[in-house]
Amino acid sequence: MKPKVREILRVKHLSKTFGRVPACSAVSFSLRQGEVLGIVGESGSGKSTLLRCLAGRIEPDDGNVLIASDDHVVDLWEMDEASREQFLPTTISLIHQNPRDGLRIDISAGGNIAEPLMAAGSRHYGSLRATALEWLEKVDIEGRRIDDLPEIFSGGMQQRLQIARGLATHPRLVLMDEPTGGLDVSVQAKLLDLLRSLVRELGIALIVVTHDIGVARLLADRLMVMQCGRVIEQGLTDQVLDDPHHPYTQLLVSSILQV
Amino acid sequence: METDFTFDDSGVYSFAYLDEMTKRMIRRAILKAVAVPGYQVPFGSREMPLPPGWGTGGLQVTASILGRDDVLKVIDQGADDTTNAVSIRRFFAHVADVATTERTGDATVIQTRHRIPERPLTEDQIIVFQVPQPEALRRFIPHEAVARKLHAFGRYGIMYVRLYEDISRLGHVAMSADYPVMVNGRYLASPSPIPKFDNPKLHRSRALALFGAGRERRIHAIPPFTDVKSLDFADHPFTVQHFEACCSLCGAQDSYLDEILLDDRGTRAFVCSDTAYCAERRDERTAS
Amino acid sequence: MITSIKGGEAAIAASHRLLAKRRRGNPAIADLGIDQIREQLSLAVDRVMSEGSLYDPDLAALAIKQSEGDLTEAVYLLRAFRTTLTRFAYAEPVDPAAMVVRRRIATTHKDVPGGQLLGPTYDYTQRILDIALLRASSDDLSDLAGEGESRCEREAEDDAAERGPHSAAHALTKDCGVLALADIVEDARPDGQSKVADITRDPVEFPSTRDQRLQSLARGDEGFLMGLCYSTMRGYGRNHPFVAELRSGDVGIVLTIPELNIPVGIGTICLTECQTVHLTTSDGALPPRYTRGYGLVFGHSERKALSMAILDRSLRSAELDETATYPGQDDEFVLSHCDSVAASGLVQHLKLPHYVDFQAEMQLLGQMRADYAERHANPSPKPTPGPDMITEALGGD
Repeated sequence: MKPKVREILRVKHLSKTFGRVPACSAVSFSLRQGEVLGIVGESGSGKSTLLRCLAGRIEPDDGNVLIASDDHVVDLWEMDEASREQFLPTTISLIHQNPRDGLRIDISAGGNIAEPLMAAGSRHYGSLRATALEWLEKVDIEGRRIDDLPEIFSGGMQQRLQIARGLATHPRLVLMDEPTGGLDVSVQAKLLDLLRSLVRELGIALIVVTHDIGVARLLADRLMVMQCGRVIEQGLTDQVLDDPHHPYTQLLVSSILQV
Repeated sequence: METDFTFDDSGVYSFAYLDEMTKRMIRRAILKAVAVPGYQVPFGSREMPLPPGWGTGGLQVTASILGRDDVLKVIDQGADDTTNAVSIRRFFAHVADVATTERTGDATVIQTRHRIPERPLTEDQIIVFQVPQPEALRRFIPHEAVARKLHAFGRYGIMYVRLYEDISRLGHVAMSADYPVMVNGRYLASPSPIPKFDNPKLHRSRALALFGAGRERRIHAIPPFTDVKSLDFADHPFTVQHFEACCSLCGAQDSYLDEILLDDRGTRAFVCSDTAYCAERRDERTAS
Repeated sequence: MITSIKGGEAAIAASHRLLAKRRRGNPAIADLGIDQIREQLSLAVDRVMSEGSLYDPDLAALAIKQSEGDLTEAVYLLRAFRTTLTRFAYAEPVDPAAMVVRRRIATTHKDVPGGQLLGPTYDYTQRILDIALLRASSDDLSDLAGEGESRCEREAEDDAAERGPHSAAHALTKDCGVLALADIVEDARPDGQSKVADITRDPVEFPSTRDQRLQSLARGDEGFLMGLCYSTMRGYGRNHPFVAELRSGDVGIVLTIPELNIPVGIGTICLTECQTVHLTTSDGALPPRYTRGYGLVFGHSERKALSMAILDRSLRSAELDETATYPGQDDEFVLSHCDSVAASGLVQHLKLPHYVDFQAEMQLLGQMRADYAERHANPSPKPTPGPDMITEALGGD
């Protein structure tokens, strides 16, 4: 089945079990160009597993991940490994919770942004440099830091650099796993602002996994609530948060409001 | 001379030392390497009478391709008379009884460590390189399993990161030998620790180039007339070493030079690293 | 005056002559016989056979003599010889259960079926230099067996005499003592089912299989393996071994002649076998249990067999769903670096001439120093990060 125009991702009955524990059970949803989908749920609800299945890191036991390519649709897990590895870097970008997992910590900020571009075939130092500077500016890191190692950056700066590295190749789909986790509140707010404006500016499709309802409310157009590997509720963000139907969603929402 | 060897028992050892089954196994690896230029073919490297790391890979490749009519030249650092070259040449003279030469033009097989002769090679010649580390990605990716995947996927971004970092920190690429190359537009390969001065000689070379890494159990090859591109950026093109001096013995200005320290006050001179090239030039001058 | 230096050939010949002279030492002292090395330096011979992967005490002794007692060099001499030998058949798997045991200990229980047999060991010697050994003596041979017997025959005889009919180490089985407790100790891997790798013919590729690992460890450098094993025990590896079984003695080698298809005993060799058990709880699919480590080496070398067994177990982390964090759990790290021949070769190759690449690097250095001088003469607007900037970066944001 072919996704509709502007539909960029369609997930069908995706399931993954570890040992005897189902991490994802028959998860289905779709995503359009420019749309931000929030996936919320407590830890262990399967949202990170889902994200890794979408990112090509964990092979699901069952189901399909259909991604719109330039003029056709590909099934991520039907491709052979080599084609998938060719396809993924320019199509999907995974932003990790811990920036150290997504950055090369011993390579300069500029090198971190340039690497995926070079892997994709860019062979002009000057233009790599210009792109790196451009992206540093976009994520609010001073251009003079281009040759510094991320090691000496603060947590917030490292996370912004990881985002620049992830977005520089203009992927169709960006996946973020708890992008604000581990940052203090004021830094979180700044990062969320940045993400919002980048999403608007670039019109990318974004999936944000978070256990923080506040992050979901700020970023997501639509929300998907997961519990024990199942999607128990989904809809427009305001709708889900203001009028939760499932008891678990109600609990999630009430717990955040008490804070 | 025979007595210097720990064995003196002709008939016990096969022609060129290795048994025929082993030679066949290595020839198969070589054929595969030639068929897939730049790809590192694993092979069942044997212990040789030389320590691994001292050219056992090159030794096994040479032993497998050598025929009774071949004329062998062995160089180390470009020179025929360095101890290691002498030792390897004597080994083959002993176990294969082949003719040896110092003249590049006369040789059919040239085993080398760290240099390519200055005189252009021909389609009748094979050059065999001794390779300590065949994996160009090793300095960034210590794990073999990971590196092999990157080769399979042709994903060499990490190698270019090295170039990028050097240029941004130093203004140029800080690699002077064993400078990585793309072979036939597909595989990233190590040219062995030759100075980058020699890299252009590999591009569309008329001679077959075989690379043997005994300790690491890999063989790779660059067939004749294959594109070999040293990694660079469009706006920072690859360059080779340039010498201000010329050879103090033959006056060559186009050859790679060895620095000779004349005293402890820093007085120095330069001579050709390729001793055969230097000698031939001097002979020609004397003759004319 | 500059000349191109010739004479490598003459220098090598001279070097070989000097080597022969040094090897002989003072000619007034009697020449060392191969038989003396084989009989009186038997543990060195065992180590060379074990790491050289060739069971031949005479050739190992020759290698030790030829290398002036440099065991790493001797191992290499033996390996280089081994590689030229025709491989005409593979023997049947040796049966350590049928071992004529000279020494056997099990540390998990006070009494184990088959009993404990201390045998020859330095374990309970007091490490005091025995001045009596300073004097070459031919006296006091009364305890020792007669001349003309090989060390193995003699030792086997001694053991039988000392053991007496009622003493230990009869009725040994493949898995005795704690290893027979099939409910808490994992099964030994099935043997003879699939083709066994031969690392001397085909290169090991990673991730490796257990047969490849055991073969690599068996010929690995004792010092390196011991150090790594030590690291896994000290904290870099969460490895908690018990020695379930350590035995050393002679086993028969049986060869099935292909044309005749009959098994024929072709001799005995001395082996040391070590089996360790390790409490394993990580794998959620199976109940907590003991998993095994296995070590088997030529000759009498308990240190090596122990190290091998413990590393074998720590290298099974992938198979047992354990996170491999430390060097001793990383098969590629251990296997790629445990071979003394390869390690010695690469380390020592630094003694070869490197004129060409050094010259290339000197040029690079010159260029970098010129750039450095230029940068410092005209500082660019972009400051290099100093301590203040780092503080700012850490504190800010």
